[in-house]
Amino acid sequence: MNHLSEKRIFYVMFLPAIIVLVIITLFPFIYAVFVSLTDMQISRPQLGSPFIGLRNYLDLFTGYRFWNSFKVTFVFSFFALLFELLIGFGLAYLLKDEFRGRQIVIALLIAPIVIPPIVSGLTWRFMYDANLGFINYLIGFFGVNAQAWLGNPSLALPAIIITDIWQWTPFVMLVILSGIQAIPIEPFEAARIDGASNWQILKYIMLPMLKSVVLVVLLLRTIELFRTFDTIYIMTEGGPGVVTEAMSINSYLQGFQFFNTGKASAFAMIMLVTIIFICQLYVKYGGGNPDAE
Amino acid sequence: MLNMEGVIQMQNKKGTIIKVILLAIALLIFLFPIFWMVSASFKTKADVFSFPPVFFANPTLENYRDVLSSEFPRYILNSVIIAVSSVFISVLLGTPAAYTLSRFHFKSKEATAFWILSTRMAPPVAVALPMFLMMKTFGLLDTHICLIILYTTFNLSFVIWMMRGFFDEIPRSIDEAGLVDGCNRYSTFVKVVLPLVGPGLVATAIFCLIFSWNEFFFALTMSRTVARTVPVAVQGYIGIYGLRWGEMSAAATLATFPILIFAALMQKHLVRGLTLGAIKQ
Repeated sequence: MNHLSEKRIFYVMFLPAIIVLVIITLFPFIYAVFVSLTDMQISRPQLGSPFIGLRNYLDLFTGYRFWNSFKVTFVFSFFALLFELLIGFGLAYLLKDEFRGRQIVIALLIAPIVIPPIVSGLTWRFMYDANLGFINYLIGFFGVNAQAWLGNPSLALPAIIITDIWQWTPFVMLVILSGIQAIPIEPFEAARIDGASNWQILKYIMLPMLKSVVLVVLLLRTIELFRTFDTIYIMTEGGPGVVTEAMSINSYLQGFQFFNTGKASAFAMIMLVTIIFICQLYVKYGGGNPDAE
Repeated sequence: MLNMEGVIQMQNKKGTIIKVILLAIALLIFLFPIFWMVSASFKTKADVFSFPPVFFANPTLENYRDVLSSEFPRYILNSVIIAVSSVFISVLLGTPAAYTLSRFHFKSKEATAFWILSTRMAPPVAVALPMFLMMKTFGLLDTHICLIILYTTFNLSFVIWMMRGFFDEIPRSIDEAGLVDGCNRYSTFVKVVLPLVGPGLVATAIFCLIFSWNEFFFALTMSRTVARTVPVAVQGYIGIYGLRWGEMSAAATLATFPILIFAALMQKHLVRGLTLGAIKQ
C-alpha cells in the first residue's frame, strides 16, 4: 500500500466535513467574539460597530436582568433535572423485569421525547389556560380554585418545569432502563441467594453499576436544560415580567427583539463558555469514553 | 407458624398490583397531553372553547380543512425540503469523516472530535446571531439555503459522532481483508465497510430528520414567510386574532404524527441516538 495515497485518501475523506464545519460554526463564532466587543445594533446600521472593549460583558455582569436569567436557568434546570431523574429512575425500576405488554408500555411512555418541543409547549399552554384548560378542570375536583397558571408569577416557572419533566422524564427512564439491562444477572442472583432484600440489591448492586449511565444522562440533560428555548418561549416568552426569562430567552430578546447585537453576542459567549465547560465534563466522564456503557 | 412461601407469594402479588397501578398512572399522565391535543383537533370551534371540556361530542374535520386549505401545506413542503437537503449533505460529508476518525490515527484527534461535538452543544443563539448578520449581508435571510446551512451545523456533527460509533463496532480485520484484496482505503470504505453499517446509517439519517423537523429557534430567527417551517407555522396560530386552539391543534397533530411514526421505526436505536452514541444498545 502506497503511503502517500493513503494520506491523500485521508484528506479527501476527512477535510470536506471539517472545512464545512469551520465555515458554518468556527467562522461565525470568531465573528461573534468580535461583535461582542462592539456596540453593534442591527436596527441602526448607520451607527456602525464602534469598538467598546469589554463593556458589553461588564454591563451584563452588573445588570439585574442577566443575573435574574442566570437564576431562572439554574432553578429551572435544577428542579427539572431532580424530578426527571427521580421519576425516570422509578419508572425504569418498575419496567426492569419482563411482563406481558412491557414493550408496548415502554413504546407508549417514550412518545413525548420526539414530539416537537413547540407542540408540547403549546399543548401544555392550552391545558394550563385559565378559562378552558384541563388543569383547572382537574383541580376543580379537589376543590382548588382555578388559577391563571402561566400568568401568575409564582406559578409560571413551576408550570414550565412540569412541561419539561413531562417531555424528558421518558428519556431519562429509557436510558436508565438500558443501563439496568446491561447489568449482568449473576450479581443479582448471588445477592438473592445470600438473602439480600430488594432495597439492599438496589442500593449496593444496581445503583453503583448504573453510575456511568446516570452520569451521561445527567450531563446531557444539563446541557439541554441550559439551552431550553422553545417551550419557555411558546408558553410565556419569559413572562410574566421576567420570572421565566431564562438565559436562552434573555439572549434571544437582546439579539432579535431589542437588536442589541453586541450585547447579545457577549451573552452568547458567556453561555458558550459555560456549555463548553459542561461538555468537557461530559467527555471526561461519559460521552467520549467508549467503555462507558 | 406462617408458611414462608405463602408470605413471599402474597408480597409479590401486592407488589404486582402496586406496579400495575403506578404504570397505569404513568401512562395516563404521559399520554394525556397527546390525547388532549388530538381530541381538540377534532372539536368544533364552539366545543374547543367550552368549559368544562367535552371530548368527541361533535367530531369534525373542519380544523384540518382550514389548516390544509391555508398556507400550511407549503410550510410542510418547506420543512421537508430543508430537512432532507440538510440530512443529505450531512450524511454525505459526515460519514467519510467519521470513518477516518474511527480508523486513522492523527495528532489531536480527540481534540478535533471534541470540537465537533461542541459545535452541536453550542447555545443556538451563539450560532444564530453571527449567522443572521452573515445571511443578511449575502441576502440569504428567509431562504431555504439559509436554513439548510444552519441545520447542517447540528446534523453534521451528529452524523460524525454517531457514525464513528458504528464504525468502531466493525472489526478492523474486515478493512484489512479488503486492503489485502487490493482495494485502497477508499474502495474498502465504500465496498466493504459501508454496507455493514447500513442500518446504523439509516438510523442516523432518521434521527437527523427528526431533529431538523422539530427545530424551532433557527427557523424563528431566520425565516419570515418564504422559508417558514412547520414549527414556526404552528406557533403562528398564537396570533393577532387570538389563540385559535382548534386549528392550532390540527396543525400540531399534523406536525407530530410523521415524527411518531419515524420514532416507532427507530425504537431499537433510540437510546443510542438520543445520547449521541454514548450509550450503545
